[in-house]
Amino acid sequence: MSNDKIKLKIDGVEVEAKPGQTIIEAARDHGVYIPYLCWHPNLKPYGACRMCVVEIEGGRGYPAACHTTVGEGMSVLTNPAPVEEIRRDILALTLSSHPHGCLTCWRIEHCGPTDVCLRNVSVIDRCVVCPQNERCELQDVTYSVKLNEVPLPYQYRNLDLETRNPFIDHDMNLCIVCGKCVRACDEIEGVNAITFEMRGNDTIVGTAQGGTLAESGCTFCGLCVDVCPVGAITEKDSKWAGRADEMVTSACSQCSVGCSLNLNVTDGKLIRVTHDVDGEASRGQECVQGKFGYKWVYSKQRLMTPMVRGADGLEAASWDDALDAVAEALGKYEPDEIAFLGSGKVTNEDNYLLQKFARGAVGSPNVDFPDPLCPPSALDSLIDAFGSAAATNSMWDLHDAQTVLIVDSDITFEHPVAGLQVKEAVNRGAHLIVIDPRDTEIGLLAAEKAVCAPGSEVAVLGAIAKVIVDEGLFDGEAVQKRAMELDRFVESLAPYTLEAVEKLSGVPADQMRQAARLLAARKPTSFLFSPALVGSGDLAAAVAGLAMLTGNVGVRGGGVYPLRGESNSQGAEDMGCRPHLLPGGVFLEEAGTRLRLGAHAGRPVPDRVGVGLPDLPAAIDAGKVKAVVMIGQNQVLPDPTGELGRAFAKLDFLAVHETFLRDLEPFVTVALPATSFAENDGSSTSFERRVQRVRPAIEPMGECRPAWRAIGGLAERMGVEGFSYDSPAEIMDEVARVAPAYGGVSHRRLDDRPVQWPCRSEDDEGTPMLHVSQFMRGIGRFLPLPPPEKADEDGMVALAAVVREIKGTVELAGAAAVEINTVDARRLSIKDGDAVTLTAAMGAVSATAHVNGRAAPGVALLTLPHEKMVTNIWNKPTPGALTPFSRAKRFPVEIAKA
Amino acid sequence: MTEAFEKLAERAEQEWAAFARPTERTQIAVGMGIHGLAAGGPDVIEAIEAALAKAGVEADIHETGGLGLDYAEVIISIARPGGPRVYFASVTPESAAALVESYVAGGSIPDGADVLGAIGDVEAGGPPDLFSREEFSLQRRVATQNCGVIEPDNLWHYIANGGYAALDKAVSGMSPEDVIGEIEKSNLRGRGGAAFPAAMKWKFLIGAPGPPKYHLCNAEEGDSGAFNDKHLLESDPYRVIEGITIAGYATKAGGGKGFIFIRTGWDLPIDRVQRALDTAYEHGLLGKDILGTGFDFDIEISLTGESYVSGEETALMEAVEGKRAMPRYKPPFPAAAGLWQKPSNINNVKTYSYAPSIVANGGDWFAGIGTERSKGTALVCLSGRVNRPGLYEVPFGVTLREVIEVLGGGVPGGKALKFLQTGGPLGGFLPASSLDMPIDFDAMIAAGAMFGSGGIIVGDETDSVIEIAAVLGEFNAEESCGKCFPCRLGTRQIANILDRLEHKKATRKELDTALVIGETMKSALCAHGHLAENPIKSGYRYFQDEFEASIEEGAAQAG
Repeated sequence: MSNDKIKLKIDGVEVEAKPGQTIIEAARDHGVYIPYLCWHPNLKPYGACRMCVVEIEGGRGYPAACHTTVGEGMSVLTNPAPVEEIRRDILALTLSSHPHGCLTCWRIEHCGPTDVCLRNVSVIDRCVVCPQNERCELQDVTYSVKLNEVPLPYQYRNLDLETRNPFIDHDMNLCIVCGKCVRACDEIEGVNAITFEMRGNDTIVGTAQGGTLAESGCTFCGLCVDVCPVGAITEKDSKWAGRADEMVTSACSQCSVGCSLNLNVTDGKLIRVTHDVDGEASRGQECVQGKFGYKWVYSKQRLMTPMVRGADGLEAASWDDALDAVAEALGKYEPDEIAFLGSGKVTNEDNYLLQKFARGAVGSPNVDFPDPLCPPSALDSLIDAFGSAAATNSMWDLHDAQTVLIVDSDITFEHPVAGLQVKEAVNRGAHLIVIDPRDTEIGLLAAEKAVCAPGSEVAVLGAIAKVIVDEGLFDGEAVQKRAMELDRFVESLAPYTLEAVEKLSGVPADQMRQAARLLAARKPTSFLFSPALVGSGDLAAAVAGLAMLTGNVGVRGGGVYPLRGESNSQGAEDMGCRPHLLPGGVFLEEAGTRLRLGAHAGRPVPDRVGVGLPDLPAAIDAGKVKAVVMIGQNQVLPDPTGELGRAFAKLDFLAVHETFLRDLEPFVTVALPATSFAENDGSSTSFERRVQRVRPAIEPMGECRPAWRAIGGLAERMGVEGFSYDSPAEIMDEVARVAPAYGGVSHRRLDDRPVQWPCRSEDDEGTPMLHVSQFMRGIGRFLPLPPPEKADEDGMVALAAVVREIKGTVELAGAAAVEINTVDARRLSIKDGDAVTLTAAMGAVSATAHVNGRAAPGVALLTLPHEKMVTNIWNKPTPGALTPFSRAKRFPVEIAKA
Repeated sequence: MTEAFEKLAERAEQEWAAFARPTERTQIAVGMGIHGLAAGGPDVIEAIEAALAKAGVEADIHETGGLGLDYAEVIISIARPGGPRVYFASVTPESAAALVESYVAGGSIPDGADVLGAIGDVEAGGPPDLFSREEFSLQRRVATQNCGVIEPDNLWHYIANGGYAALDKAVSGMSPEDVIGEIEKSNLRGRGGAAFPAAMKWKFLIGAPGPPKYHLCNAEEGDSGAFNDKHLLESDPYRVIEGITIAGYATKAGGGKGFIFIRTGWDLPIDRVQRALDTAYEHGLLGKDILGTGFDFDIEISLTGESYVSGEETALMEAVEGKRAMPRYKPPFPAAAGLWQKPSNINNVKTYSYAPSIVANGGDWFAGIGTERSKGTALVCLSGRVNRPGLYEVPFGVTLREVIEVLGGGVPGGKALKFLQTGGPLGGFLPASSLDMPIDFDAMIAAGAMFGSGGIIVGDETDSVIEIAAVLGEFNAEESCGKCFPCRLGTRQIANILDRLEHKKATRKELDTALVIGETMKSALCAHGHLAENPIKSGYRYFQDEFEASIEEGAAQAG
C-alpha cells in the first residue's frame, strides 16, 4: 500500500496530495484558489464560512474543502455553477453585516485613492475608510465570487471601538465572525484572551467579561491582528499604513527563538511586522516583541552619524575620520591590551568578522560577547558535558515530551514562542515540573511547581538526581555506555539529602521525591533552563547530569535547551566570539580550525585563551586591558557582575558600533552608527541551532553602516588584507570553509530554507537533534556538583526582571513594582500599594509594593521598565548605574517604606 | 439472573407491595411532574397534610411523576388498605381536603370529585380501570409505562415494575453483540429527530478503540412544545439510566462513562436523576463491578447553558468539554472522535429509554409495534388548541387525527382546526388536510414537516400561521450558535422578514429573498441551519394565501 501520495483530480487536472491533507490545502499547493474566509493554514479546520464548498463528482451535496480530506481517485470541481451560487448567496448574507458599498459600487474601477466619494456610497459603508482596504480577504473573495449586488440591507452594528491598550484596536463593526482570532488565541497562543460573546447574529468577538484586553490576559502577541481577514482587529500604530509594497522575511531580532517574521515595507519604510505563515522557525507563531518591537528603528535617539571624542566631548565626524581614529588608537596598544566584544544582537557574519579582526588583524585573543539573560560563560559547563552548549533538540520536539522540566525561566515572557511549545506539550498530556524562586506564569500549568529559595536551584536538582540514584530509577549500564565519570557525579550528590536541601531551598522533600519519580517514569523529558539567576555554570552541569542520568539526551521529545537570551547569542558563540572558542564552537586547541582561520586572516591567530567578559573588569582595573572595541546593540551593558560599567570609566579607549549611545556616552571615544536588524544583511542562529537569513528590509538609516563594512574599513586602514568583502554572503562562504559545523551553510541555501547545524556539506540536511548515537565530544561527561550551600546571606534577595523595551509594554507595566510576601510585608510594616525604596550595592530605586503570594518569603520580585531602570529610576552616583542588572538578576537588597 | 439482582428484586417486591397494595396505612401519591408542580402540587400536598392531621388519620404521602394527562393535573392517587389505587383529577387544595375527609378517612368518594379511574384490584361498581379511559385508548405505554405510577426516584418501585431485569439479563447471559442484535432486530430509530438506526450507531462504537468510550444521553430538549424527555427523566429516571448502562455494555464501553446532558435550570429532572444515580451506585447498578459481573460503568450529569443548539450532538460534546456549544464539522463522527476526541455515542433520552424493554422482551416484540419503517411507539407532546393537552405514547401508524381528536379531545369551542406545527421550531406546518397522515418518520418528512422530537402544536381557525412562523423564526435566529455564516446570518434575515410579514410591511421581493436564503442555509454546518427554513417554507407552501394577503395589504397601505 502506498500511503505517501494520494492522486486526485482538481478541476480535471490530476494532482498529488499528502494523505490526510484537506482539499483546500491540496488545491493551494497546486495553485488553485478556493475562496475562504474562516480557514487559515496555521489553524485547525473550522468549517464556519462555507465559502469553500466544492463539488466532489459522484458525491452527495457540496462539502467544505477546508474539512474534507483528499481521497484516492477523488475528482473535485472547485467552481461548478451550483457552488458559485451558494458562494454568492453566502457572501451576500455576509455583506449584509459588513460595510460593502465600495465592493459593489459601479464606480469602483474609476475610483482612485484620493477621490472623494460624494454620494455614491455612504460613509459607514465604504471600503476606502477601512484600515484593511486593499489587503482585505473579504474583498478578495468578493472579487473572486463576482458578486455585483447585495439584495439585503446593510445593518450597521453600531458597536463601540475597543482601543484601551497600546497595541491593538478592535472595530467589531467590521467583524465577519470568522473566528480566526479567537482560534489563534486558543489553539496557538493558549491564552484565550478573546472569545465569542452573545449568540445568533449578535455573536461577536470580545473579552470574556467585557474588560480590556490586558485584563483578559492578552499577551499582545498580535496573532489575532495578522489572521483577521478584515479591518476588525488592527495594529493601533500601523493600521492606516495600507498594503505593503513588499514583504521581507527575516529572523526576529528579539530573543533567541528567532521567529521567522515578515517585515512589511512600503516606500522604503518598515510599516509593520506580520507573522510568517510557513516559516520553519516559528510556524506562523509570534509574540509581542517580534510583532510590535520594531519601532525603535525609527527612534529619534538613534545614533545616525559617527562621533569622535574631542575637547568638548563627542563630536560628529565623518566615517573616514572616525575609522582613522579607531585604527590609530588600535595601533597604540599591545594586542593583549585590547578586548573585543561581539554581540548576540547582530549577524553571524558581523560576529565572525569581529573575532577574525581581533585574532587575525590585531592579534588579540580577548574576544567575548554579552548575553544578559544567559551569560555564555555560565553555559561553558555544558560544553564540558556534551561538547556543545547549544540546545540539543528542535523546539518542536517539545510537543513529544512526556515531561518538561523548566528551571529559572519565565519562559512565557522571556521566550514566548518557546513557551507556546511547552503549553502545547502540556495540552498533549506532558507533565510539567517548574523549579524557580519566582512564581512564573508557566508554573500555573505545572504538575510539580517547586518555588525554591533564590540560588538553591542547583541544590534542588541535585536532590532530585540523588533520589533517582538512591531509588535505582535509572539504567546504570545504559548511562555508562554513553557518558563517563558517573561515579564522580554520584559521589558529589552525597550531601544532597532531601532533608538538607529542603532546609536550604524551602522545597518540601516530598515534592522533590515526586518530581524525581515523575522524571524517571515519564520519558522522554525535555529540560529547559536559564542560568541568569544562578549565574554559575553549576546549573548547566546539574541539568546535563540529570538529563544523561535519565537517558534523555539524543532522544526525540527529550533534550536540553539552554534558553539563550539574545536572538543571535548562539551564532555569536558559533562564530567564535568567545575567548576559548573558535568558529564552529570548537576549542582553541583545535589546530585545523585555527589554521584555517589564520589562513583566511593572512596571519596566524593566537592560540592562547584571552580575557573573557567575566574577567574583563579586573583586567581593566589591573591595566591589562586598556581599549575595548564593541559591536552590536549592547547599549545597556549586560554585565553579570555589575562591575563592567565601573571598569569602563577607567578605559583609555572605547570604540562602539552602536544604534544608541545612551548611558555609554560618557565612556565612548569613538562611536560608529550601526544598522539595525531591519537594515542588516546576513544570518542569525537561533537557540535551537537554526541558521536563518536576516534580510535587509530598508536602506541603512542616516550614515549607519553594518559592522562588516566598518571592520573592513578598519582593516584597510591598518593595511591588513583579507577583510574586504562584497557582501555578507561572501563572509558566510568563508565561515563555511573555516567552521565544519557550518560547512554546508550558505546564503544561497538559507534563501531556500533555514538549516540546523551541524551541516557539514551542501548535501547535509542539517541536524535537528544532537548527540543521537554519540555525543558531539564522543562520550558525555558527568560533572560533579559542589556541595550545596546557602546561596545568599540572610535578608531580602531581589530578583529583578526587566520588561523588554517596547513602547507599549513599558506603558502596560507602568511604574516600577516590587512584589513581596505577606510575611516580609508584616515584618517591614509595608502595606499593599505602599511606595517603597529598595537599596542595593549599586543604587536605590523607588517602586510600588504589591503584597501577594507570588514571592516567597525573603524574596522581592522587582519588575522594572527597561528604560526607566537605566535612565530615571536608579540613582547614579557611580558609573555603576550603567549596569545595575542584567535583565534577570539576583542580588541582596534592603526594602523600606519610602 | 445474578445473585445480586435476585436480592434487589426480593426487596423491591416488598417495598412495592407496601406502596401499591397497602394493608395497613393509606398511601397517597401526588403527581409531581412539571405539570403537577405548575398546577399547584405542593399546595395540594400541604392541604393533604393539614387535612390528615385534622382528621387524625395516618397516611403516607408520596410524589409520583406525571401520567401524561397534563390537562388534568393536579392528579393524585389514593390507595386505602386492601383497596384499589384510585386516581383523582384536577385536585385543588380544597378538594384535596375533602378527599381526605371523606375518602381517606371514611372510604366514600365525595360528590364532585373528578375520578379518573383506578388501578390494581378494580372493584365492581367502584371507579373503572384507569387505562380504559379514552385518553389511553390508542396508547401503548412502553417508555412511559411507569410514569405517574411509581415514585420516580424509588429504585424498588422501578425494579418491582420490571426495571433492571433487562440489564441483569444482558450482563449475566448475553454478549454485547447479542444485545446489539436485539436492538437491530427491533429497528429502533433515534428519537432525537434524525431517526438514525440506533443499532448502527452502537455498532460503530463497539468496534472503536477504548476505554474510554463515552455515551452521551441528550436531554437538552430546548424546543418549545416538547417535554417528553423531561417527562421521562422526572417520572421514570431509572429507565433512562438502565438504558444507558445497557448501551454501555452492548458497545463494550466498560470502563467508560455516560453523561446525561441536561439543561441548567431544569431542577426537577436534574434532582430526580441525581438521586436515582446516587441510589443506583449505592446498590451496585453503576460504578465498579455492576451486579457482580465485572462490568464497570459510570454515569454523571452534565449541565449545559441555555442553548438550543447544544442539543446538536457535536455542540453537545463541546459543551460537555466546557466550551461554547458550537457544532463541529463532520466527519469525524462521534464514534471515531467524539467527546474529548474519544469514541462516543449520542442518543436521545427516549432512544435509551427503549433499550430496557427491547432487551427484556426481545427485538421482535418491539418490531411488531408501529409501521413498516417506524417501529415502536411515538411520544407525542400535544399542545395548543386541544381540549386535552398532554403526553401520549402511541404506536407509530396512529394518525394525527386520532391523536388530536381521540386522545386530545379535539379543538375547544367547536372551532375548526387550521394547522399543526410539528417537530419543534425547526419543524414545519401541516394543513388540516394532512390529519389522516399516520405518525411516521418518513411520511411526515415527505410532507414537509417532521415528527422530530414529538411536539405537535395545534392551531385553530383564529390563529395566524405567519404569526406562529415569526415566533419560530425568531427562536431559530436567537438560538443559532453564531458559528457558521449561512445560519448565523440567514436565520436573522428570515426572522426579520417574517416579522415584517407579520406587520404587513414585507414586499414580495423580501419573501422571495427569504425563501432563497432558506435554500442557502442548506450549506450550513449543522441541522439547525439546514432546517431553519421550515417554518417559512412549509407555512408558505400550505398557507400561501395568508402570505399573499399580508404582502398585498402592506402594498395597499404603503401605496
